[in-house]
Amino acid sequence: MSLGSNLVQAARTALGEAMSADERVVVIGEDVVAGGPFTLTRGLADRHGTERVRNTPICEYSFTGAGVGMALGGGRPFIDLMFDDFITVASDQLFNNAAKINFMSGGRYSVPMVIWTIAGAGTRWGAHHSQHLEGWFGQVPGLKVLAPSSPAMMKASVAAAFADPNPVVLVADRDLLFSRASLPADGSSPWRPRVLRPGTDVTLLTSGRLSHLALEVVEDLDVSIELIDLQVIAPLELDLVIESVARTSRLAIAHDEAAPGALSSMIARAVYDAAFWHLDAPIAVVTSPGTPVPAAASLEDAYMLGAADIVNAVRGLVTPFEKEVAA
Amino acid sequence: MSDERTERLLAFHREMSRLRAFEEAVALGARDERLPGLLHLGMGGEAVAAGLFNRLRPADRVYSAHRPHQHFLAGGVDPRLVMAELAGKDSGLCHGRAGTMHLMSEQVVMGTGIVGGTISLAVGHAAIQAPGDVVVALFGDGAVQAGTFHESMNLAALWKVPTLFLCENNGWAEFSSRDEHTTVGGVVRYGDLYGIPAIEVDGTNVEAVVAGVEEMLAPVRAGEGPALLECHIARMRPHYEGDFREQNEEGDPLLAIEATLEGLGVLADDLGRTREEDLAWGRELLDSVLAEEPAADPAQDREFLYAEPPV
Repeated sequence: MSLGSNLVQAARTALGEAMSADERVVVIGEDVVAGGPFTLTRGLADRHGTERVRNTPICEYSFTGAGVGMALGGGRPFIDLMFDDFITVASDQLFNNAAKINFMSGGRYSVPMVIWTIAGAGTRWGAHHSQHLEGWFGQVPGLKVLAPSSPAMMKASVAAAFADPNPVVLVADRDLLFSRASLPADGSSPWRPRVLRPGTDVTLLTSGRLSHLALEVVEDLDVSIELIDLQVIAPLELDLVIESVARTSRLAIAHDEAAPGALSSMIARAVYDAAFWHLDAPIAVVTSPGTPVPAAASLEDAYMLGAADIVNAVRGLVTPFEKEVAA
Repeated sequence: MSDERTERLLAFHREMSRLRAFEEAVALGARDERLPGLLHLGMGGEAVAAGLFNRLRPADRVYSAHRPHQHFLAGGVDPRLVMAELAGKDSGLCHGRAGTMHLMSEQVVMGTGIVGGTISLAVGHAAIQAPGDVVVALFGDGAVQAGTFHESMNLAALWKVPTLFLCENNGWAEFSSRDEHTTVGGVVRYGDLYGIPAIEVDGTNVEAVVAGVEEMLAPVRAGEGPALLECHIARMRPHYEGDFREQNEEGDPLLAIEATLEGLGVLADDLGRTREEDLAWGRELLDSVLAEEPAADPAQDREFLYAEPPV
């Protein structure tokens, strides 16, 4: 990504490459011929035709089902679901068909499909266009979920999703869509967390926009932070995190999520199981407030996790117990 | 007596009798608690199953629905594999991971536990079929009031894909009648709304089913887009085995074909013998599967969760 693609451009490049390399790849979604609202599919219909870039009416349930049918017929559908929030409409097809068919069929069929969605508040778009639901997808056996946090890793994630014979949900952080910011360790595997910055006092696990935010704020702290970017939400791959916690003895998890703790509690549970005796403090979980995303600017600003939330959590982990009591 | 029509009908009778006998064996297994599961039987749909598959080609694909057993059998799946799947055996069609409603095989791709859950799959699958090959979406009238029926009809018409929507209208959705589910009359009327060919036939008459399938498949195979066929049938068993409500004795497609054959000079005794032989075959199948096949192995569960990526 030295040419400086933003996240959407990186995804589009990878999607175009997948379409050129494999004629079974078909793009399905609302207004995909015209490029969609975020230009994700711009130009693909000109190059590959409207048989392979298929516009649909607004019917997420059935065009996702059509994608499952295509996958069962030997196709490689890419479903543009546009927003995390809209997956609720298609959830039966994702959860009951795409995720379960490999298992239910006893391995006779797999469902190789890629589902694209964006997630994140901060836009004033209100409660139906802002949720992070990927922690919830991660609780569905049989789905894979990737949440890359830089253009280079998005490109790698799209390619990895197409190479995988299972349904893979790609979550793009709305805040990063048009960001060109790279991260350390770009070029690592999209299927595992990666260390963005080594440290010795506290392990901080983040994803998406919060990985960028954390990278900035931890520089100025007098605490040595090992910052890890989660990247993959399902199946969770926590060896790197557990190994880090074994050294630092402290863990903070910061994650935007509509259901507070849906993902972070799952991770915390896994770390407690594997590394409880290494911990010197309870795991700190920094997560969105448990309300729908509000629309008004003043309310949404208050809803958003910020630098202070991350700093306070980290500080809380290293504050000696006596001081905490005195305060 | 040996004219062509009689021979053809005798072959259909034999097949329908087998389909019925299989479901009778399943009902027996459910009744004496030897077969587990939430069993929704297809008795009453034998003429539709036999008539439809008679007109399909090997590369055609079929999505079944909530009462799928007979569709898998009519589609050529070994009855022993289906029975073993219902019985939770490792040798079952899907190694015991599917059970009754979620069977999966090749030509008949899958059934579903979600009413309406497979209709849209038949649209997407049809979009990548080779020219001349079709995909059939089978569903009951209970699915017609769900949004996905309309979304799928609309999408198929827009995309002009080779999907035959085949509704088995048995007049019941779970425990209530069609009248209680909709103010709309016949399912066939939706064809006009979406601008696709649509007819309705007596689904208890196998010759009428064959003719209807043939008529509706012609434009679909020719690449002119989807079509809709409504087959009126009776639900001869309750919603699921173990329930006691709504079942019909009227509208038995086997009695219908037997009346026709008797009219053509076939002896009732000969037809009765076929039925008896098949019922004995079904009971023997149930008994031997239960006695001889090993149970599905939980140790394999993780291995079926994800397909392995190519190395």
